[in-house]
Amino acid sequence: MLTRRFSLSCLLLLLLQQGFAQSGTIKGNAYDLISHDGLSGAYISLDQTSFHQAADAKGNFELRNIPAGEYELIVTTVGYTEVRRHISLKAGEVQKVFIGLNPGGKSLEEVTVFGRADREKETGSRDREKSAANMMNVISSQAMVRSPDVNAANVLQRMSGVTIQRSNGGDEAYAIVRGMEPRYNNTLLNGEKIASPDNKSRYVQLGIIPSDILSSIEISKSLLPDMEGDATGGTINMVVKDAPDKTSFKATGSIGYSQLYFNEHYIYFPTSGIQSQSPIQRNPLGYVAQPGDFSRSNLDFKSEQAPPTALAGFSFTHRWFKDKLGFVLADNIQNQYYGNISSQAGTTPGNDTTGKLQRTDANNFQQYTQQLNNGLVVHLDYVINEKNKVNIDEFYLYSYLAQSRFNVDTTLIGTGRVGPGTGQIHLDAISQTQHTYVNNVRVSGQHYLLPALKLDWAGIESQAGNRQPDVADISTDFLINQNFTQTATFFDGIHRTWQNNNDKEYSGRLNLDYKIKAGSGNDLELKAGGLYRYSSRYNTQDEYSLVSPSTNSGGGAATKEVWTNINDIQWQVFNTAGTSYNPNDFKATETIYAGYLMARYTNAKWELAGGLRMEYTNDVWQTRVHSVTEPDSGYQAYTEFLPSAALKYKLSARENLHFSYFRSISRPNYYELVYGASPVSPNGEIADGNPYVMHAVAENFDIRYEIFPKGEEHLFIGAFYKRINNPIELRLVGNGHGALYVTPLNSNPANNLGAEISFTQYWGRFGVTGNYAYTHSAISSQQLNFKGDTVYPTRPMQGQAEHVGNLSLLYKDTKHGTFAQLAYEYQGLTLAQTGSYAGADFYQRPTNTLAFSCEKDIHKHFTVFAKANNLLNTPIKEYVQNTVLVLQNTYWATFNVGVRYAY
Amino acid sequence: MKIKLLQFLSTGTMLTGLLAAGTLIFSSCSKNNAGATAGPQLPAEAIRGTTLNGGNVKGVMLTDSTYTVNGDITVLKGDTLTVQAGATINVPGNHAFYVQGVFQSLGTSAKPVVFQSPTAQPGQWGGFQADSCQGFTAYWTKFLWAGGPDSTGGTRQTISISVPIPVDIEDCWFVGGQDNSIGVYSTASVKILRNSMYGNGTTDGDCIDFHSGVTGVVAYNVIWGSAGSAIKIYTSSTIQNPQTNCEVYNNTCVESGFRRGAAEPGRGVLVDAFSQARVYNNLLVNNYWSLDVTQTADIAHTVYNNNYFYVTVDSLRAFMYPAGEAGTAQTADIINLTTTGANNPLFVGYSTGAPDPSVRIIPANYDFHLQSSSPALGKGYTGAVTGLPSGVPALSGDIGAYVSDTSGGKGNRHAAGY
Repeated sequence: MLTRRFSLSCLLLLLLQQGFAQSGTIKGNAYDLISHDGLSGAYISLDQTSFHQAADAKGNFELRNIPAGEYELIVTTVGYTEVRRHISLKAGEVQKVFIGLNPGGKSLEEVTVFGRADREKETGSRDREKSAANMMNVISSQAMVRSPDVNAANVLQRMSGVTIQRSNGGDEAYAIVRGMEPRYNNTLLNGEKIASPDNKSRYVQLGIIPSDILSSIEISKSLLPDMEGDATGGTINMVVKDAPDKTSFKATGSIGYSQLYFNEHYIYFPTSGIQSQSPIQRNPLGYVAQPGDFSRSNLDFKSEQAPPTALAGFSFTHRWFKDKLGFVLADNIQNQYYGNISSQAGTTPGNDTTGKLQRTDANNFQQYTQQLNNGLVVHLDYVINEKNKVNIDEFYLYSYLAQSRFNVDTTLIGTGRVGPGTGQIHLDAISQTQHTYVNNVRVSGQHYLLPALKLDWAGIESQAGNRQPDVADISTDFLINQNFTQTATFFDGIHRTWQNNNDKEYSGRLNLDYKIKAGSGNDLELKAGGLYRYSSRYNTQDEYSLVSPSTNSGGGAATKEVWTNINDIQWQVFNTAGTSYNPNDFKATETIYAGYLMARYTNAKWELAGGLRMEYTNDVWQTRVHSVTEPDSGYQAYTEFLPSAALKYKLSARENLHFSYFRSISRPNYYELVYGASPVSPNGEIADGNPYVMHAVAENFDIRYEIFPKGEEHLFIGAFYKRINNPIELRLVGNGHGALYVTPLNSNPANNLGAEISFTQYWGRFGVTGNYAYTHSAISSQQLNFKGDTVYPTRPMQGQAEHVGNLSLLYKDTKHGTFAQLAYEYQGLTLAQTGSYAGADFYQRPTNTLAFSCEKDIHKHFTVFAKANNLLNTPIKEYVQNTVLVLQNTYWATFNVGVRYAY
Repeated sequence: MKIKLLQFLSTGTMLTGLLAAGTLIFSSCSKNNAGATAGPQLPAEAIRGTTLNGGNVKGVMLTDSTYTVNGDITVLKGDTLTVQAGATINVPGNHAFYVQGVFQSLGTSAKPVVFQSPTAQPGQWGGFQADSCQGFTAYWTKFLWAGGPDSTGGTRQTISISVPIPVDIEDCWFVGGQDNSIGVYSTASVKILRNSMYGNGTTDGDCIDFHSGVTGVVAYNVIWGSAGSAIKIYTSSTIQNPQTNCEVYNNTCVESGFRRGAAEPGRGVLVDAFSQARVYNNLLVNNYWSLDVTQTADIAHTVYNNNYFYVTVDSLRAFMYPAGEAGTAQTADIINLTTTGANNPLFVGYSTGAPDPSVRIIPANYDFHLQSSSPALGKGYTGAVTGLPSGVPALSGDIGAYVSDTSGGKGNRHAAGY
């Protein structure tokens, strides 16, 4: 269809050029005077004629067959001052014009009922930030496409005050906003909550969302009553490709490679033997699991040269029926091969009274990962008339992960260790596949019931799930004796786990918005609304231990078998009935009712918004446990009233001063309320739910100064203070068995204060964009000191870095279609996790990371680009007591080159 | 302009006032409601019949009666389950006793109590999961064939206790368990006296495993063929306090520590990770590693002497006191570091071949009583021992569990076998 139209217009062009030699052509480009970006969709017309055109994605236009004569060329677009230029066109002439537009002009709020500024453009982002009543940072798809980033997690870490927390050894990535760990932030899709496929948290892993599918990411750092109240650090709103104003088609494709595989082979395992259901799940009740029920092939690791990473995507937008029906289809697929080489250590105090820690073991591990992410967006909207519009949105995310992990754990203190190079070595090989999906359907509408009364509503069904069939973990061990002779390697058993979790959410939301124009720029807006959400999570888990065979008759029991290879080793199933009483089999539901009332008053200088939100939460869980006196069900019900107010003072047309106050809450994750639940964690960390952990409530105060000089340029300076009551922290505690595990606990009230600065500045073709956030938090919780006394040391909140900064150098030459960006990121000392002892907390050393991207237009429709990430191969290092290295993750650099097409 | 400002101010004040009022009102009536329950908790049933189908149970299992347990049994907090002498309890399925109240099994020398699987094979039932019990006492009781899988597919200990209570286990038998026979993980005070433990642990599991602050006495026990260590005294690899602190004397530990494989040798007696112990008069025969006081043990407070070492295989000789560890031969030890087979203690029944860890049923000819000519007789330490509590038998003048003077509770009373 597109190609046919394209060739047809080419043909026409040829014919017309032949036939109308007495006419001329006006050809040119409309661009932002400041940023020199082409203005996609700018409206070009000749005054007093019917000649008109919308500029293409790069701001190019071409008006043909214009009779020779004198004309007034008019260029307009949202957010810019109209430009008029006189043109004398001679017959047969092709006149080139370049028209720069000054930002300003129509502001977003004056745009017609369903119009919008282009969110995908950085200038549109500035508009959103400027016109928002609360404090917001926005990054556009244009900025994302040009950046070195390939997923939402990469993008977010360049935003002001945001760092990304990665689970050790895992690939889950979540945002920490203003030093507040992920549980204090919420993640929205098009302004709505979505179900989480993660077995631990409430959020979607940001690393599986291709950034190309997004049209912008907005972080709101202050809340108003019409926003959900569970965002103390910030609300991260991912806005996907949305209602088109015109036809567009964009496609992109790239290939890449991880530096890791320049000199390492990629290790994989055949997945054909993986059964989606466990032996007792796929057999009748009472089945006795047999050794032959467990495949060997998924522990038969093989190596090869790593295939290249491939990324591809497209988006298509169009409007039909006199622009009444809008349609968006976008899909993005990423198939990546990456890995990491890491080490980890346990620590113990020495046999003295100094409390000085030493390493008990050195665990070196390597991970080889294939991850396939697919994001699909379908949008339909129908403008019934000027007053009514309905939309249907579908968002589908699928992620497949196949990972091989190899641990080599050397015991440094304990059995057989008599010096360097001796001691026990435990080896672990893990094969894991994981299927993750999120399916989100929304039906929504906006209706002007009266000219001043707007109703908007939405109904959302969201499903998410995670399947980890047959995660296989094989252990072997050997000992290097004092004389450096090595014992045989012994087979220490295989553990197989089938884990499933399913989340379902049904939400309904209704808002009424009444605007009173009091005249002379005084507007009062009254808003009321409500929200209902029912979420449920089912978690199932079945595990099997496969051990060296022993024949029970006569009590014969071999010692551990000597390890040969996976195909020859023999085993018996230790628990032939599976784990029918696993506490990780649980169901949790959450019902939320929320309602709010708010008012917003605006005049030429001031804007005051505020009101009250009420949120009622009812969490219920149920599990199967092995004892009648251990809790197997529980509930939490609470109502919180969340007042908020935001005051904006417009110092000038380009400057704002914001003050805000809001109260927010943070709910424990589902599993955290479930007694005994310990979700599968890639690094084997044992967690334990705590039904008595309370939700946190925070009081937040903010002040921010904003100036938007022109175009993409901006400068924000802000400060905040937060006080969090009942802060929830996962803390390392010892159980009666001397082992350590993490459990959610309420610490003493925490204070968190900080300041942020964010700016973008251009000098001709060169620009600098950057941000810096200072955060200082203080929290205390119970810890033991080395003498065994209980103490309450004050420390930062977990996950908080005192200093976080980003600095990017930009080069932009719109005329030649060249763009380049060198992005530097600094994250200061971060408290990664509290230790079991006071003064033995895990601190992540400051990191410096560097990434680079560039692109060049090579044709009217084509752009080639290159992206390189983690150029310095920055390791993540965690230390205790400043000197003892307990964790090091090395991810290596990744490179991508590709081409984009835009019509 | 003035009017506008006034208008603005009044609106602003109104809104702010409303907000403030709202905040005050609503923050005061913010409410919370939370709980966790174990579902409807049925009252405990007193034992009436001899077939128990699981559930909450209290009362008495009568003398000389035979009971069958067909489901998990729970003894609720505040309840007591008493087992009288001569009772036999058969547990055919993988069921366990969850003890939150008090358990007492009161067998006698003439009429022992028996808990067993009728299949007489290892790992058939779940043992005593008494992590939060209020009292645990067992006299003259046979715990046979426990250790069936737990909720995550792992082995279960025969007796597991994680609360700071007195634990008293005397003159009992532990046979064919799949994990630790007695695991105590708390600041419990223990008396583990005169027990016999044969062939416990699969490819892991210690017979006596103490962690995290256990104090008390382990004496006159006979332990053969433990998968891991026979006796393990351990605090924690990461948390020094509270400290495990025990007296370990007059135990006979034979052929333990092999089934975990050469890479994870088990010991006769292990003092590890910030714990302290007084270790005297133990008879350690053909264990993989005999006596191990590790570098991380509380060496300053750990005392060991008068222990008796005998190995019949060259490869085990080097590990009587393993090289590189903190423990070294003491002046009153009976030990020959250079000659394999020296210092034969002269058991009543024993073969001097290499230990065969694949055998989990103690050979019929094995009898660790000492012949009258045994060189272990009369070599015991009887001097003062720091921290020895009152009410426990004194150290014997002989080495090992079977001693000539059995006054005052000294000496294991069991015949060979079970």
